[in-house]
Amino acid sequence: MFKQDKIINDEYNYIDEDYKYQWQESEKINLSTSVEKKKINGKDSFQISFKGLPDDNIIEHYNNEDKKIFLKLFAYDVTDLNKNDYDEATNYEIYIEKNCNVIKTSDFSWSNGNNVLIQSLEIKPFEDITKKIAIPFSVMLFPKYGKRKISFRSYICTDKQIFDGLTGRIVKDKKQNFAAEEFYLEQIENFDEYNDLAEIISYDHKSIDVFYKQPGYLQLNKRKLINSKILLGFDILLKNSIDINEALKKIIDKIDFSFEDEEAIYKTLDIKENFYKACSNKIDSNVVLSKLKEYSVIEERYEIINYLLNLAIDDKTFSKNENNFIDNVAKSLELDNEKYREIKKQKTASVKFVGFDNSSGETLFGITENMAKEEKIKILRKEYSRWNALTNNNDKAIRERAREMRDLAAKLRLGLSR
Amino acid sequence: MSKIIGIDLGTTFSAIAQLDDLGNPEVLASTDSNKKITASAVFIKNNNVVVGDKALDALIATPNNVITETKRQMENDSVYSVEAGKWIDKDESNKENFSPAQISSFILSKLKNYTSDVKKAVITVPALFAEKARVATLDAAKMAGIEVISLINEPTAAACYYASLPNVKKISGKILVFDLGGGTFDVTVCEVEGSKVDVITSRGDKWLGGKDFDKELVKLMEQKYKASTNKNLISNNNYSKQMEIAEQIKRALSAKESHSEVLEGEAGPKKIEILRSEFEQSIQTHIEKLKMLMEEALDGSGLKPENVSHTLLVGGSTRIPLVTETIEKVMKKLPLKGVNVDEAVAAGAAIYAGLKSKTDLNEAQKKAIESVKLQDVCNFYLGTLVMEEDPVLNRRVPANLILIDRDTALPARKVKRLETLEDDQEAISIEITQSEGREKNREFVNIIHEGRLEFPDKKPKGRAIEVTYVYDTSGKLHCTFTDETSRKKYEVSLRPESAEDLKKDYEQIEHILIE
Repeated sequence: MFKQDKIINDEYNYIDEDYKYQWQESEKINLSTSVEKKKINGKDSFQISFKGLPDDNIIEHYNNEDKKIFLKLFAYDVTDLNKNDYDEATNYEIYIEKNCNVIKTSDFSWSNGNNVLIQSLEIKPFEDITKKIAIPFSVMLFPKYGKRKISFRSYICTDKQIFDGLTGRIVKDKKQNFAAEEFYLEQIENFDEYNDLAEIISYDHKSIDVFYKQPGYLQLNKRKLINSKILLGFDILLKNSIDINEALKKIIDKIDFSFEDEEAIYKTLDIKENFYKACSNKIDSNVVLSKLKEYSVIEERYEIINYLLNLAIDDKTFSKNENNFIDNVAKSLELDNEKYREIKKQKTASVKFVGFDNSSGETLFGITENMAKEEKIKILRKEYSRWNALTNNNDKAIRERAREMRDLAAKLRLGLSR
Repeated sequence: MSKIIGIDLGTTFSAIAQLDDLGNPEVLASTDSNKKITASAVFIKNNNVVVGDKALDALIATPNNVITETKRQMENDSVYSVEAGKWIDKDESNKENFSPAQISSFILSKLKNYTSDVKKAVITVPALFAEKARVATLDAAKMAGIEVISLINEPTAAACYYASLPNVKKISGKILVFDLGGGTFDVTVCEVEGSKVDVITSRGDKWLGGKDFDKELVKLMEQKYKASTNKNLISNNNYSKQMEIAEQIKRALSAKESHSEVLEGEAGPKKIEILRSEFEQSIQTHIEKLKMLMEEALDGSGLKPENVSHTLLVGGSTRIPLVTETIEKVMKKLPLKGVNVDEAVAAGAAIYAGLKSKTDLNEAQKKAIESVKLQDVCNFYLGTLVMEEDPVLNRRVPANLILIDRDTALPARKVKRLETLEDDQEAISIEITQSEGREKNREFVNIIHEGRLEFPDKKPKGRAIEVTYVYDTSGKLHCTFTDETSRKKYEVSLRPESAEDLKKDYEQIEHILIE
């Protein structure tokens, strides 16, 4: 009995051990990819092939933790990334954001609805896993025209990993993560540095050269942005009774066109088209503003404010209407209120204010109607203090402006204190 | 032995004080009028200068030749044009123009003559007087032949006097010095323990004082005159005269509920009655400013009104009943009376002058002031311009880097390590800044000195520069920028001894007779 029992137990143990083998997270999953140009279904395409995809054990392991596994594929234009410039950059994040842009698409079926080109497939156990993905060239929108280098980034990750909606980059601690670009620049082959991101299981990237024959979306956005600036410029100036020809001169003077040589023609075309719109009174700033956020990055939005303020103060005055117009633009562009007011204060510090009454005066100090009285009183004291401090500024114009603003803050607060 | 004196160089009135033989501060009376305060008014005609009340007498006949409120111009690049009868920009100058420092030097010369053998002095300035205005004050003293031992902030001088009074020893704790003069307002919170005064913070407005109340009163007079005669009160050249009348009305309304005055306008003389309540209504915006600055000072010192044991009044404008009522409302208790509001600043300056020149004092004087101790603070933010990344604008922008914070106890020392931005940089430009507020924007700070540190060799970017700021107890700022690689230094001590064109001013003053 004893012997038999033992045999049975041995057999049992043997079977159990065999079954007990399970994949450990410490074991690496080495995703490997390759990319080639290929005609698929008659369309010029990029075909990305995958090796080292997770097996059923691994997928089950994650599924047991209530996580789904995905293969995600993004593409980036890495042409402008340069190791020397990167090393020189004072802020590497800004450098990368400026010089490495995601490939976009206008085809809804190739994105998650935000124009970023993405292929996202769930990998399930005991199902055939796709080993190849083809992306037609025709659905891809490149940031720039010409010979470009495209890097395809493939992630095996869980559904818990968040990717930035506008750039496709991994999000870590609520910020974009630039490790992929750093690895590209450092030419590191075996990428395994996502260890600190538990939801990234494996990663690989491969690059390929291509010639893009259309204007890139950055260039198109730039043109759209310039068109919007021209329109907003006409609107603010014409609403302040500036002669249309005078307005045109001011706009040309204040906009930084800086087109590439081959695009210089656009400057003339855009000015002409928008001038006619202005002549026929067909400018609706609300329509312009509703689209503006789609094709401008944050610093460009502040640049619009800067430009409009420059136009407004060109005559050394700043009117209530101009203030309201620019406040509305800042609000539509969802700019940080404090930063916006700081820029406005800086720009208008040495000009004469025209037509401000008590209620519009409050807006100068960032006071809104829905603020409580106590909050308004607090803001006005702070503003009084700031302007009072500027009454000894070396610049005479700033000194004079400071005295006016200081008096206005005191007058408004007196009205609230009573 | 030369005398050590303290001078209160005010916007509307000035005073001079010295320590008597027993060490008590004594405010000196004018030799011609026997008054202890002298109008800060200057009459100039054909190289003849008259200072004081007599200068004001000329306001009716030759208003262009009478210069008042000079102190408000000390920080400006302006000059007084006798021809235009007003302060104009410096670049429009001709030989008939006078700088604020020059005009102030006439007032100082007059005060100096109230006693004999004056060489050294402590001069008071508003707590928030900018560096430029302080330099102009030093220049004025130099032109008047006075060696300035130190400048002292007006409320600090008043607190110094307060602490020296024999019967205040029982009072200690946090004190708020409320100094409302003719042209400026300062509010200072300090801690007094026996005769030891530690300044905690100062706030102020350089354009808020009795003169501003007078201007409101003139507007009121104009309205009333017009309502009753349908003609204007103000006509060419009589504004200064109306300001003088307004001041008299203001003084009268401090004592009674109404005052009648015969005003002379386009319709001839007309008797107008002004009620105290009407005057109080007209200055409400200025009163609101006083409130805000008191609140600021309390916040800046981390105190609530109930933590402040007393409010000390300084300056003639504190005689206005509405001012004391406002103080009572904000501080939740009545201000302390008993100190002469016109003389406290000059008297405090004399005590401070004694503290700064103990070797020149006799034994009795030394004993009288030996227990007085003073700890002042820096009234400005002091910094340097740097370039920094603006994460929102996504580019490098010039920014003001603050090294010494406002309200830092003196002496203060701060060291900061900065780095070059470019490879093979040959030099760095140096811009030393001063600001009343915590400003980052280059436009909103005053650059009080510019310099350049040249490097002897070329190095990659990131070359370390050690920046050291020392702000001493006399209010001088010493800055050192050291290249850590070569140990080469750029050193500067602010403030400068004199302005460049001072020599010319000296030559001019010798031909002027001061009555």
